[in-house]
Amino acid sequence: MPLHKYSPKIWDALKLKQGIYARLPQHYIKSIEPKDPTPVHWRPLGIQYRANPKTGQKERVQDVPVPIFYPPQSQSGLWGGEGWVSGYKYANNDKMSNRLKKVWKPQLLKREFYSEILDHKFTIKVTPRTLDLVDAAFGFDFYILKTSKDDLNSKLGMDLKRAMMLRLLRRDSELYPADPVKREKVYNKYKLQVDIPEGEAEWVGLSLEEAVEKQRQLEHKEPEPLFKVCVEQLVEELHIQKLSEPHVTVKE
Amino acid sequence: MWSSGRRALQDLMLHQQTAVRSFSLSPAQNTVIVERWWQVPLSKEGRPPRLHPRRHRIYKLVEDTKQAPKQKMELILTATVPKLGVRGDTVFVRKSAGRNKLLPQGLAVYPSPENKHMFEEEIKLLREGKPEERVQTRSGQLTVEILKKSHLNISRMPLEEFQVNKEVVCRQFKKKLGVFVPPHALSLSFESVKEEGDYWCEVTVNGMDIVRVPLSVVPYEDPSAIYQKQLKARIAQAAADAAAAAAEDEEAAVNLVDEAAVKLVSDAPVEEAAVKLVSDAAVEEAAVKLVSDAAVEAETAKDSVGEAAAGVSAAEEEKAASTPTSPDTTAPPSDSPKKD
Repeated sequence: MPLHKYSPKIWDALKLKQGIYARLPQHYIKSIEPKDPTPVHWRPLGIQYRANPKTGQKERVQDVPVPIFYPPQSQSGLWGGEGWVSGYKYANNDKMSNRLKKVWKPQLLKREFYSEILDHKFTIKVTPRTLDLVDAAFGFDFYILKTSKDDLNSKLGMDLKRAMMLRLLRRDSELYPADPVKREKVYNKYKLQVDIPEGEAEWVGLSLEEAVEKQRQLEHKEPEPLFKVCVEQLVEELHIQKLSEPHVTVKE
Repeated sequence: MWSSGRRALQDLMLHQQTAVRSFSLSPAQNTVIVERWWQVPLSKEGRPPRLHPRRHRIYKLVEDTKQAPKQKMELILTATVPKLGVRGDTVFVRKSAGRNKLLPQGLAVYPSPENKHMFEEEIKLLREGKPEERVQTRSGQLTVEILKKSHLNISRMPLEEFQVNKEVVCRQFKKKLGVFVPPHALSLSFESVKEEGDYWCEVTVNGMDIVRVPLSVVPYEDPSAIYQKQLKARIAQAAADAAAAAAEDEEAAVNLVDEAAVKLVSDAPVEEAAVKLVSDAAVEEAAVKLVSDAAVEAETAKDSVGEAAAGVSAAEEEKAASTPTSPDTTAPPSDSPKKD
């Protein structure tokens, strides 16, 4: 007899189908599904078929990603897709020598970034690869807005993304309250990066627990006092009673 | 340490803060690229490949990007930076310099398509915009400054068909001052001249600013090294003579000047003496000019005498001088003192 009704491997998926998880918005559930990040520590082949280098015959090939470990501290920094590559290596790169455990870790630097949209200076732990990505995206704000959730791989990054998107969509005087000219310039610069409605932007980058809490807040309503309900019921009954009694009119 | 990333963001959501941009030094990149030693067997389509927990974890280092040569980054300058360029230039700088200095201080921007478009518009405005809207470029300003202080000397070649016209002046500008002036940007006060003298011309820089440059046609000097050496020796000799003669004639010149101050007419002997003294001390060209000037202006003889006296005293000071001291009595309207 099996131990569980459903295999533990599908428990996570099943959990999302019942209770408050089922009432979460659909766009959020789609965003939370894990996708493959862009390969950072390995080179993908990119093609399905190729000619075998030895025999010359056509063969099917597949990309096998290298498993990377993302430690919890990577979520409070912007590591740009890097993580710890842990495995083995052969000493002197020779197959016949010892097999040694090896962990490759990225080089972390504390850098200060200025965000135009949020008008604030952040000190974030980044890797040199992140700095290159920021240059390639022509700015820190562009990098945060353009990179997808799986490539950013950081809770801080997604929180920044959510804050920037909301500030751009809301168009209040939070951004540069004293300088409307600069505000307009910043809006025009980044307006192409936000093309989702504000309702969806509020859910960008929330973890499952945060999303559940947000849904709970939305569905929450104050319990109505029983006194009110009873009073209304009584009023109803009296009204019906009065209508059912025959109306006596005295003729003048 | 409230400025760590996440807490800072939370604080931001509560209250606004002012921002200051600053970056720190950025060392080389360090991303490790590995590949597997042992090949992973192909799996069926739609299924993930089955990995051996040990064999397929043995990696070989393919590339450590920190070993790769450092690449430079491309930026567009928004202000004049020494050793790099002026506003609008696309330069290649080291990543450290760009991220630490240029970008945080706002001296440069990334070469995104929008930024490039903006700078192209600026250049277009410079060329085709209305004259009021156009702004002089930095190189244009520097050229104007140089031209204001320059004086063009054209040697009168000993040829019959020698004449100074626009093309000659353009070429002389390029050769003597190193400034390229196209013919349409140059306007002369004359059509063409053959005699020696002082003239002036106007140069239009970038179609916006007009600078008046004094022009003088000087007698021919053989530019060969031998002649120049002889000339130098002659000048030194003349200066030595003048040192001796000037001391004696100083008194005489002063007396003559007093007489001239009393007598309003008959300054010919004074002038001659003054001229002689000046010619002893100075170069021949200047003397010739003075004589010609004095001959032309008989009315302002008093002025010329005063100037000759001044010239004498100046010559006495510069005993071994070889620079010509030619007071410009028929001076063209020049903007500032001529270039040495």
